[in-house]
Amino acid sequence: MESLKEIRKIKPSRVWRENTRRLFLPYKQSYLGLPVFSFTLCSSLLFLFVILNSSLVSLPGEKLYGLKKVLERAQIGLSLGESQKSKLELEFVGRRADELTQLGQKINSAGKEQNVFNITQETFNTFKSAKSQFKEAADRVSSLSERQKREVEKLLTDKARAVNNAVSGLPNNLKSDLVNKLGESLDGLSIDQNEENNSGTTREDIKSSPEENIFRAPTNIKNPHSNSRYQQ
Amino acid sequence: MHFITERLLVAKARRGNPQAFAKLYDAYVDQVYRFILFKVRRQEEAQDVASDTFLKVWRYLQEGGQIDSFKAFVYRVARNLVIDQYRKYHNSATVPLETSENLHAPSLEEDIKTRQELSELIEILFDLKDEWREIIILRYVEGFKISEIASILEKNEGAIRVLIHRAQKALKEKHPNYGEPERNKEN
Repeated sequence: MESLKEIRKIKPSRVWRENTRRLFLPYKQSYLGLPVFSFTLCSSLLFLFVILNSSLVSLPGEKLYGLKKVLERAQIGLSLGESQKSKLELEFVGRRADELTQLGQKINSAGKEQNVFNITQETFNTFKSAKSQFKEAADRVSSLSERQKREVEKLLTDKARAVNNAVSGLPNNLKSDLVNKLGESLDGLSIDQNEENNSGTTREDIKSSPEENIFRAPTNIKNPHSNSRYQQ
Repeated sequence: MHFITERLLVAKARRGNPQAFAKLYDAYVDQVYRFILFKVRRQEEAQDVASDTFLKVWRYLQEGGQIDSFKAFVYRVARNLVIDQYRKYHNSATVPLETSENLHAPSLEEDIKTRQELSELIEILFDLKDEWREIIILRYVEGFKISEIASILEKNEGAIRVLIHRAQKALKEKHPNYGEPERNKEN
């Protein structure tokens, strides 16, 4: 009688099993019991979220940095009004400042010459990006209302200080290279090669008449060579 | 499947949860299919009847039907569906094993050996009349308890024991190699 249990080897075809299953279970169930479409959508959204978050902390030279810049441009493009655009640009200037700080730290701890060269290039590009974004924000100031102007001007000051602080943390040769090769100052406020030789330097300018200084920023930036202390 | 798990799944299925019913389906589809196959003798008809069986049970649950034992109920439905179409299948003489995918042998040699063994068993079973064959399959192939078989066939346990005894005797008369009758065991 035991041998009769061999009959259990007879089973229906898998295709028929699945087709019958679909009679009362119309959509395929994933392992977690969720509809496959929803599960795929949730997984994709989670993956996208992780990628986007990773891109926000990426540095120049890293794979996701391009995505970070694309997202920033998209945010600017989608923003409403000049005031919001200026604020966003300045927020991004702040990011460039953070990146400069981190790049400076990378240079200081870099071992190979080639590595330093690449990071230096990235630092240059980041600084240029900061200048460009700062200029964009400053250019819009004149078109804003008085209240908005004051808000943006405060941000201009903060961000200029942030970038200057970041640059001051770079190795001296790189700092002077930045100034010499790129030539122009940031927001009409000069970048110090040597902090001890300050006279009418960035921080003092800010302290003495920040609003007046910044208010002149669009003019200064449009005619950088007339105001820069570091002309080629 | 444990009877508590089964009851929980049936309760969920009654509330319209198809995933719960799918688990019940997965647990019983193979044995229900085999049970029907040995009644109708043709694979396609067995598939149709088996599909109809589960669909009918699903609809019954959707309409709020109560089930004490899912296993017994689904077999009863299958059996009744076969009886409804009995005249259609009664004179068919086709041997049910038709395609290779029905067997799950690990190798070709095993597959051939299994087919030969199964062919013998199938012939033996088809030598018996429907009533004996049915009881042999439920008791010795699927391993059902006397109480479960009684529920499926809607007879009392005493009658089932008598049927089992007679089926064993008939089997032994035709094929003496197939074991001794069991004596008053529930399992």
